[in-house]
Amino acid sequence: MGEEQKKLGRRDVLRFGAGAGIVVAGGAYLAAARAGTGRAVWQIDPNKCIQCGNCKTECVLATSAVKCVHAFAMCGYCELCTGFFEPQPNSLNEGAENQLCPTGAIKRSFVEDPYYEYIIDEDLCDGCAKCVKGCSSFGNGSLFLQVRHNLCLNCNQCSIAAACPSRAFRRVPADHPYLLKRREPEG
Amino acid sequence: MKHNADNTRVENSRAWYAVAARSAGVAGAFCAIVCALLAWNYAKFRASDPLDSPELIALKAELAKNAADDDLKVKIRGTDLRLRQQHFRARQFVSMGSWLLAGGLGVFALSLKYASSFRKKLPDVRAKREEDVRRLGALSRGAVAVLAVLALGAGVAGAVAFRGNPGQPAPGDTSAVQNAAGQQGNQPEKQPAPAPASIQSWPRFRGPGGLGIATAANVPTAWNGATGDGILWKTPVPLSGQNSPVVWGNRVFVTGADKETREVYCFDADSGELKWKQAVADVPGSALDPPEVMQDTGYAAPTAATDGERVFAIFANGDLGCFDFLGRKLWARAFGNPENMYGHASSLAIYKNRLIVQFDQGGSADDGKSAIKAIDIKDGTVAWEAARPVPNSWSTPIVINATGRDQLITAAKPWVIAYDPADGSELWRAECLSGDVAPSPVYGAGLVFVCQEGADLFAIKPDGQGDVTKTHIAWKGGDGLPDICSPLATDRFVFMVQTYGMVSCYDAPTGKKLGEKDFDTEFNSSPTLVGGTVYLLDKKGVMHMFEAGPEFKPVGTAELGEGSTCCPAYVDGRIYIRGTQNLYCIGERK
Amino acid sequence: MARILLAILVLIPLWTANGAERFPPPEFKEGHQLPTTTTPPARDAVLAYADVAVLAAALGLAAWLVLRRRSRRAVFVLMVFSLLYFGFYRRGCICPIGAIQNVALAVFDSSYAIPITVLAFFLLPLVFALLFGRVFCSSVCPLGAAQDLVLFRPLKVPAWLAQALGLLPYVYLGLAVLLAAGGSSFIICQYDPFVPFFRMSGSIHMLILGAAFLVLGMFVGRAYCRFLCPYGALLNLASRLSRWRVTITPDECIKCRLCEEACPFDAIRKPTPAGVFGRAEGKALLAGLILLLPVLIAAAGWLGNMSGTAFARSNNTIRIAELVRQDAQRTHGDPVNEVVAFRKTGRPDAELFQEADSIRRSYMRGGWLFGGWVGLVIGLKLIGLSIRRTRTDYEAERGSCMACARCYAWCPQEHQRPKPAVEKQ
Repeated sequence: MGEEQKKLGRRDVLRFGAGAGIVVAGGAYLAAARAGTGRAVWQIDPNKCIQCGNCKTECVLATSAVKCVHAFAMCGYCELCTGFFEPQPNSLNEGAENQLCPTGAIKRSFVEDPYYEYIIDEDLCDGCAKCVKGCSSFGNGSLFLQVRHNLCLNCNQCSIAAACPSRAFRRVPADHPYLLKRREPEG
Repeated sequence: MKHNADNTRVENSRAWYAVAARSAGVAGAFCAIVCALLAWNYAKFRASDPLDSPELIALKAELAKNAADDDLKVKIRGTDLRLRQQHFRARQFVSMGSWLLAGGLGVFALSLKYASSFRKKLPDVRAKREEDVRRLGALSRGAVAVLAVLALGAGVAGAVAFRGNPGQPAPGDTSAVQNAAGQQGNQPEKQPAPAPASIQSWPRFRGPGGLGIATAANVPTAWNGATGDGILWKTPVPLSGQNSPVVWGNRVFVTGADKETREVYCFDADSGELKWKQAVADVPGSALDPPEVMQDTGYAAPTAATDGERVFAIFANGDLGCFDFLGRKLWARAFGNPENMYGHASSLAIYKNRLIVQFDQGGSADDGKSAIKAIDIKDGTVAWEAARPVPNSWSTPIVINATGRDQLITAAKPWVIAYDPADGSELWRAECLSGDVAPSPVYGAGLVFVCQEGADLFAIKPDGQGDVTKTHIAWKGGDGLPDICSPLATDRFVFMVQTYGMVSCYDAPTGKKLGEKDFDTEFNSSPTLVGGTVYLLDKKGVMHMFEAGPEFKPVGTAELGEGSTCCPAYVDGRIYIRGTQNLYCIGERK
Repeated sequence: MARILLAILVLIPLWTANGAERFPPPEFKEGHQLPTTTTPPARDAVLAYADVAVLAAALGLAAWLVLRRRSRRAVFVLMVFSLLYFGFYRRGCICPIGAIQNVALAVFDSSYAIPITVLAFFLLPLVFALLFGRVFCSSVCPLGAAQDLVLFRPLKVPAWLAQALGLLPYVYLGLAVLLAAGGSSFIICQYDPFVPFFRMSGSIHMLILGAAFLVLGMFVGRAYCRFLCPYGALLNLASRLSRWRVTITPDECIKCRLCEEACPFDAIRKPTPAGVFGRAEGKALLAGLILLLPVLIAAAGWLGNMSGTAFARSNNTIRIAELVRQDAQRTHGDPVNEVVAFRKTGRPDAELFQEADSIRRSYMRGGWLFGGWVGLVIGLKLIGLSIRRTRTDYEAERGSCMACARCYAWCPQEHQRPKPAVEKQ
């Protein structure tokens, strides 16, 4: 009985040693060769986005973590903003019949003649990309979608990323988590 | 005493059990109710989604028809507000309800656990039989084997169901675009092969090269549109346009447009069937308002161009569209409404894998708005563009090869400019024209010919560099100058056609006027040389055919039965003419 | 108004070069300040390291509570804490189960750098399992906690069925590694039944699946853990090699049989009766199964290779290539979004098809490995079921014991032994 126990004991230790060896070696290799210290979060590359509308419907959250943001430096401040107004609006006022945004998330305010400022209320925006499509197609493209990291859960597999037809989602470092559009330098 | 203590303990535990069970019951019911409410709310959430709500879309469509209906506007605003309120309330409910449900489930689980702790079973060791270990082992192995077979079977089924070659072109795929894309992937600068002799083509305005010279054989010389003699088919074209037919193989393309609609049409060359029509619409950057054009010019004056795999079309509002031969839209871009008196009319030209667009606009050369652009045929991006020091013009550029270099020749007031079509750099320019330049340049006998009523007929030597106004104009002639029709140059002669019927013939090398003939009819179409015969279509649709020479020896006339302003397309055994209403094919069935 | 705009449109030069705007941004007269685009930051990186620390601490505490303290109630409290922290606070992500896929991707895709915190999440529970058994499963895994919490009426799953279903975690593991390594998708994350509850949102069918698992979990103890969890497969293997483990009684077993029904997960093995097997018959079966093993591996591997194309269809590049190919037959209507987006990139079709082909080939190679793995698992299982084992005591089976500490209370020896804070249950 004692012999058996000793033998068992040794076999046990050997097996444990083998297992530990595999795990430690594998872990060390991965840590050395394939690991990075930075954390990565998801973000949309606005130049690849084709404004398909999946961002609104595919997010695991009830209200998508993707919202429209505005690069004010690129905006033309047009009276007839093609991201704010429906194509061929009835009149240029904030009536619901003229607005493109289904949730009324864009606020229009007069600055000086003939310029108007357009600001997005993120609480109302649901990432449907209608304004982005209008702005990119006919305007300056200063409205674009971005993942908002105060809302995003940073899922291991982003379900919007999986459904994006233009593969516009990619992992970016968590300390620079936005891919904002910038105005190109002149010339 | 102990008995009492035990009794109390038992009663206490019974009481606690009751509490636990009852709280579990309440929590369970609560969870069920919240669940039901969430489900009902979720349905409402989906129904009240203001995005693409059919109710709102219908109302907005109605408003588009009755723009001044204020009641309708109020209704739309009310509906929109209602939907948005419902939607956001539902959204709030979902988040609140989830927390309630989570809390309820937590209470439910904990109280059930506490209750079940009072109902622990003691193990009943007497009634147990000894298990048959062997049987158990055999049974387990059998179960594993069954599962393994099921799994492998599922694997086989999956492999069979999803077999095939996903994402690979089928071996016999003859999709032209795919092949082109494959080619372009390897050799980006490869020129689309010129049509082999077996494929007849008339790929742009005034034929290959844009010189108005046809190499076709057996071109008909007699037909009658009214009786149908010699007419193979005649098909109505949905929207009218001043542009001429282009042909490649068994496909004929024309375009048509009105104020709102711009379309490209593809006809079968043998049967005349309209194979497809595609609108050039919703182009990003397209002007919101229709262009202002003269009625005579119309909205679809420029002629399309094709390279055998794609067809390109541009319209008066600066919208440029590209389709493949199956009618699928490949790309489109908009240049915006040009500031053009009559309406944009310059037709398209193709050089290797670039589409050349002469986009002249502006009332004066100083406006600086004119440009010539080379568009990549694959995706519509601008490969190069060059500003032009000219106001609006209506001529179409040609690409020639002279003095060992490819030259892109453009004619406008006052400059005739030759560019290197590979990168848009200027080769030479000559200041000679004036007026509203509509006749396109031609090339023959080693000279570039341009002409314009109010200016002159100029013959320019193409071997210059820079400003060649004083040095390379070989000769100029002043009689019989056209304002619309482009000239025709052969090795020996240059023909000019005036709108009111006068056709003159010059000696190409020297500029000596050799003869003229008044046809006493109206011409808007440019002449074409077919073999040794000049074909010239008048506005009434009558084709005048005469020998290419100063005597204008008549070969014959043929009536279309319908008016026409286009330049016909000539291929082996066939002529395609676009009348004001119909597209005609003259010739024999092949 | 529209006319003014038309005039603006016509007068502004419509440059088509990239970068310059259609409508030049204005210079404001009265020095209007442009609002800034807000950029709310992502979760602080330090907190990710804090998560790893909490994980390590929880694992250590769990090991101590299970092996030393031997208290079911304490384990229960830790379980509730883990459910709240790793489940509801961290929304169940990143979890060690999902980390398998990140590791698989890191091994096969050199462009992916696995964050060190994710690697730690993958390795820590494994290391603890190697040392102490499946303490992760007992009171640290939020999915296990959720299932353990709803278990009221454990029904006994017939042993043969449990053995057969016990194959599934290994198959799921192989499949998840195959699809993650090929860059297709993280199926563990996609089909995790409990994470929609942690996030408190999700698609309807995932919520229904999760609810179904919870209801099932009321009657079948830890169904996901035992019969599906791919990480559980790894922990099972590690736990078999573990240095220390759960023993129902560390003292001498008196075979009172009271603990036979103690484990809701059927992890307790009885002592084997003497002289059941004839020597010859057992040996023949065993020999046959050992010979069958390589055949099984080869056959399943070949089948996996044949199925490689089917698996490849889940890959995004191949999906797009297929859609582009199908677009060639389209005669009317507009191309689908994927084709539009692909054409926008300007890449030639042939390049896409080449890439798709090479991915497909790598899936066929991966199919060999996956099939071989499945064959190996089936073969070893069959062999394992045919090996005679003699047990003298009631033992918790090493691989499948979830270290939940329920069984301690049933053992009279446990109660007898002097130790701190023995509680009655």
